[in-house]
Amino acid sequence: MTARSIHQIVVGAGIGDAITSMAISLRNSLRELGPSEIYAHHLAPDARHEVLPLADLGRARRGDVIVYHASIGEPPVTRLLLTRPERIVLCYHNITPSQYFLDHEPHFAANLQWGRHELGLLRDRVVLALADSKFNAEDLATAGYSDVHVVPAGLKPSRLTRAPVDKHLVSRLEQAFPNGYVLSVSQALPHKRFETLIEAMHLVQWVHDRRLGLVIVGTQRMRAYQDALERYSRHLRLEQMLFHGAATESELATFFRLARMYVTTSAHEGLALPPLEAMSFGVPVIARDAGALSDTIGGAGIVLAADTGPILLSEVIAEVDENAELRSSLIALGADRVRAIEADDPSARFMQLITGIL
Amino acid sequence: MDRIDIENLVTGLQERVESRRQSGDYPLGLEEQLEAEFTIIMAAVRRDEINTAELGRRVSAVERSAQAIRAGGETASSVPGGSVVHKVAGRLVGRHTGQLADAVRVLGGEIAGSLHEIHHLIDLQQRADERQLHDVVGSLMDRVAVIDHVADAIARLEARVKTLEETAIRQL
Repeated sequence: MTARSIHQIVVGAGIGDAITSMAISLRNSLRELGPSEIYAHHLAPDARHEVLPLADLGRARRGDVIVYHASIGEPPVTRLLLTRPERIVLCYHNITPSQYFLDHEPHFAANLQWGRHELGLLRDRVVLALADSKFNAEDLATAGYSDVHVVPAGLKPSRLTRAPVDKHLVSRLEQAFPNGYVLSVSQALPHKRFETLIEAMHLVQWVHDRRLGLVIVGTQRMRAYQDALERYSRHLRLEQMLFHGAATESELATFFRLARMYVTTSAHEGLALPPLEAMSFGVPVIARDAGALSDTIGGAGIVLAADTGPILLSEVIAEVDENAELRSSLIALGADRVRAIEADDPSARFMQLITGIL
Repeated sequence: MDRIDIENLVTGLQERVESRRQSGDYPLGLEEQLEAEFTIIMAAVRRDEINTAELGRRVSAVERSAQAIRAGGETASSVPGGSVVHKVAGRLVGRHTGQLADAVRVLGGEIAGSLHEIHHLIDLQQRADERQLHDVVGSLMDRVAVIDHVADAIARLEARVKTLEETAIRQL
């Protein structure tokens, strides 16, 4: 008798992204139970050696299971899931509220909205519901799911510390930011609220009289928002400001290694890897409480109220810059947090749950 | 490693913010002004839509201006004895303008109150519209999903019919 297949489906796959990393880690365990592959609707070239195109998903056999990683909607994926006979295990990674994208990327906003809608369409087909954080489990419960189990995402934030340093970038950064810089890493999207960080840095430079720079790294996907941020930073006469755009692993590692602190002002985060990566480089972390951020940071950084404005944020940045004792406490707590996160392997918990439905 | 007392740290920093406010480093309404400036920059790249943030900022400005209306003038003078003359003149003018200033302050307060009410009503209407739109989009998506599903089933059935026809033709 052939063993049952437990394949995973992700909407988009790329090496290094949190969902693909989790899927790869789970696949290695699932193969102990039978054939297991990862299929993606959008497949980045760098992931082709690990992930297969969704079109290659073969016929189902009795007893097969699909593990679906939900993070955004794609109607063809929904249709496929609804027409397949396999039982579905839903692994929820959070779907960003569509309202942030309605103005500039209505198509993307529609996909996000579809993703939330899809949760309802799949509900009756799902035999096991999982989420990678307590926050996401609560979010999934609002879509009508009961008995949602939390399985850690299996993040490996210290992976980047092994990436080679970009020496050319080091000398550029040392020259451009003689007093160091505040780092923020994320795609430039409106819900990341980079404007608040720019305002805070304006106050750091002009009220606190600190020549601390600001570096924002991440894909500039939404041109209009990016243009507005650049115009705003010029309008506020922000000095030592760099919008780097997308970065290679080596560049990203270099940005983290040289950062004075990491700050995120995001208004929504399902599961954020960069603050943990910052901790793995010994960089203090400051965040506003949004989504799963507080859970992710786990007391190893300064988490401010969600509505904290640029004035208080600038005071916190100045304090972390000058208070050596506070810095060393944050660095030590961050290192502990990374160790705890990396020790929390999702595979054992996941396998325990999935064998329960086989 | 011991946890950091974030609450204590933030309280201390909030006190520092307060003292900087007193010394004028953080002028009143600074955060609102910064937010409004970014909203204006974003508006330049944004599609047309009703946005009440600017209205809210203007209403607050009217409120602040109304509260700042004072009848008294500056009485200091560089001319010897000038301050006394200014104070007397100020008291005389104040007797006539004080009531006017009070009336304008009250009027300003009432105008600001009415504008707040309008602002609130626009926000309520906008939220109601969004809720309604959300419901409509949700039900449309349901229908699209059904159509999608049916279209896929038809395509598969057509393929099977075609195969059956080809088989039948071969057998004839």
